[in-house]
Amino acid sequence: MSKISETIGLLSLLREVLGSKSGFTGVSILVLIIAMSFIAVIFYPYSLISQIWNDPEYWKDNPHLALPTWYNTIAGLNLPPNIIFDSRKEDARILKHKITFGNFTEHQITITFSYNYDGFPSEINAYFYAKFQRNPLIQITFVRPDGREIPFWSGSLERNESFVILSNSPIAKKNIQVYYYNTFKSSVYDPPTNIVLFAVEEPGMCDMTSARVLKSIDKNENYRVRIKGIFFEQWSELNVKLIIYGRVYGLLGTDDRRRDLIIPLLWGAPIALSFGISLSVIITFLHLLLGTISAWFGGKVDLIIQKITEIYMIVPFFAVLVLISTFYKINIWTVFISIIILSLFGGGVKSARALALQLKQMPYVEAAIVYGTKSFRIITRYIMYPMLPILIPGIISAIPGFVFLEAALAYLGLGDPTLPTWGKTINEANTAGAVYWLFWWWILPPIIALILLSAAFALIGYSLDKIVNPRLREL
Amino acid sequence: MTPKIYPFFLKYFPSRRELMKIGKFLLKRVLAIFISVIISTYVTILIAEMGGYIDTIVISQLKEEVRNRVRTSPIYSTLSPEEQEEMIKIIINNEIKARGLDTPFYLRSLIYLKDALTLELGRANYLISDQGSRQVKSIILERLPYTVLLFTTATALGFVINASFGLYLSRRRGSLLDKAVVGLTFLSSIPGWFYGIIFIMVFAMYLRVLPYGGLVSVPPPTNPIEYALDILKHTILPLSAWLFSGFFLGAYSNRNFFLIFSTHNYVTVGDAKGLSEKTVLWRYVVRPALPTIVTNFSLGVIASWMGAMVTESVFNWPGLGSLIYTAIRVNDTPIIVGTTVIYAYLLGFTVLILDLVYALLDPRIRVGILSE
Repeated sequence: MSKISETIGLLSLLREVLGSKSGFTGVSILVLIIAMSFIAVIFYPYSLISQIWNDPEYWKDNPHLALPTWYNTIAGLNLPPNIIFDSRKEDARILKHKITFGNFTEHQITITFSYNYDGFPSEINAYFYAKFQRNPLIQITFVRPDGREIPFWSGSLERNESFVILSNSPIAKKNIQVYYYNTFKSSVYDPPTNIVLFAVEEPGMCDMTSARVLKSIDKNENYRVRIKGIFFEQWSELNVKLIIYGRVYGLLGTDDRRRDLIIPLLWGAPIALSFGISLSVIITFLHLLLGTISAWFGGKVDLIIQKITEIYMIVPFFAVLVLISTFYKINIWTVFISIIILSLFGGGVKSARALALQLKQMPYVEAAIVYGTKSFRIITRYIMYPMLPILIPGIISAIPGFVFLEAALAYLGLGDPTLPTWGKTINEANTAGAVYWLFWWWILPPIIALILLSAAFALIGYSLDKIVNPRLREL
Repeated sequence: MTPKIYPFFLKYFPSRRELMKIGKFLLKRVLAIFISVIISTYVTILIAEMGGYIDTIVISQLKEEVRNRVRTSPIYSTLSPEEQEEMIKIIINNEIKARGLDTPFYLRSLIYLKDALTLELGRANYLISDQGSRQVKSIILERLPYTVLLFTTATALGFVINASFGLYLSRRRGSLLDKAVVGLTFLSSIPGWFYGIIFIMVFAMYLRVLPYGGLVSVPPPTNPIEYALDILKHTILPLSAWLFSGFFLGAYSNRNFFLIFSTHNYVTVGDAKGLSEKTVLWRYVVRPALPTIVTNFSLGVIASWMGAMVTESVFNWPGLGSLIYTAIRVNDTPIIVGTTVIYAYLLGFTVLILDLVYALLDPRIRVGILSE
């Protein structure tokens, strides 16, 4: 056994692993996951993510439940991305007017744009940046390519900087109801304003399934949004950031809280890797240590360790883990330490003890005893050290188990609330009904990532096992 | 005295001396296992009571409740505020005494331990069985059949499938099928609940051939045969998710296990003697491997009685796992302790039976006991 540790250097081990088919596949997947971790840590630093991830303010400008952008290419569609107009910036599509009469000021912002997408926008909201003393009145009117003018929203501003929900506001809904009644002489309940504004004028325009997009084909056939503000001071100012929320966003779309889903996918990688690898290494090492101590000292120490192992067998591991993470409020490190404590006297102790008992009777150990080596040195150098290479495949293959343990806790809603892990993303997607509503871009990436990660470690562990346990190779 | 080695079936009546030895051995084991059960139950009680912290929560809830009751009740409305305050104090004290919350926690934890060990499981704090009972026993007994139906079936089926497939592969080592199973072992590193999610997505959401989860359809069929079939239909997905997750590694390790046993010299001798393949397989390969197989199987069956929290939560399955999970979420200590102690007893009992079975099945161990 000691021969193995001498002859197998780390590099030659890696070469042998890469030489086998399963090892090569495993290592390449692992390299991919490690690359993901680096991208995550570099581009979305931890301090930033832990601050913004649960902050709804940060994600307000993103569309709700948007598909990934590349979905357009695959499906051969042209779904709208986010369209943002900001009158504070130079933009040819935005015209600003200011008319003053007496103390009154009328600000008028006209936004002209063409809309040639296959889908309707998902929402329309706006930020108003204004300077005033008395609350000004704002009116927003949509002018469509077919010449229709639809009053969309009106109201007053309360604060200098305010975020105003437009398309889902009661005022907009009422305006659209009036417009629909005037056109078709029939009333409609709770109209989807974002759809009606962009739909071909026909009775079915209020229904998401039957409405057709009114595209602006010509240059002259553009949409116009007229924002009129009546202010009561001459020095007043008005700027607006109008967001017409799209249906596609970024590389992986967004979730129901508008968060960019690329972040949990990327960030899940370093968390899963560090969590799984460190737990696996620490626990295997502790098992090794306890097993060796048990075998070396024998007698009462052995008896006590064996008895504790028996008690551990009876305590239901996962239930106690759930108990702890429910009661003792939780971050990933409490879970980490609980797992270590709960698996301290696991089955690994027994097999390590059996191996150590064999090694204890090796001539070199007996020789060491004879020339008076201390117990500590014999345990660590003479017994544990030669056992390490035999344990490596086990360490590697145990990693997915710990990653899935975290995922299972997160699935039950017991994960770390601040960190976006894969398990937590699955949990959130699941509670939002992703399985039923087919939000595939939300639930599939973390599932695939978890499968890839576990496959990588299982494959590497398997090929290592064959190298370290040559007996398996014969089989 | 050199011990005699006897075949598997006891073809002789053991002497009184030998019986005494076996009895002594068993007694020792019973004692050791009982101590383990006591300790593990006590640890669970300590964790589930948060070292006594739950009591503080219960007492403050009690105070709030009593205060509200007295303030809103017309009976006490004629009393002056001071008298009301006095009344509240008296009621709270009585309630605390009635629930035994005035004795110190360490003493009470020992009482809990005694109650748990004598299976006086008491009443649940919050949860109620479908029949409307608050008895922990009836709540647990109501959920147990569903868990057994799903997970014990899965364990037993998985055991049979994996062992027979592993045996088959070990006899056909190097074949294409063998290589395929060996190559796909990594699929078993993904747990059953995870396959559950994937299977739901494929078979329930995409193909729409099987239900998403639950035990029966809503509304449940009235005809008992249809009812049973409906339950069966709901069992397919969770069952197959578990079997699938366990299959590859199970078959692989069984294959290796049988291969190691069939590389022994006596198997080669058996083959060389011209014994039929069946005889070699059952008498020379399976028979010596039996103790390990029996252990794995029985421990698996016992573990299956705890259900699986995550799988049951994925499939909305009303078994013990989801009961424990709900109990944990609402701090229902009696149920947590009750399930743990029942599990501990079952496990201890199984280990004991296994010791006995070992003594029967494995001559080496029998000899060890008798020569002590």
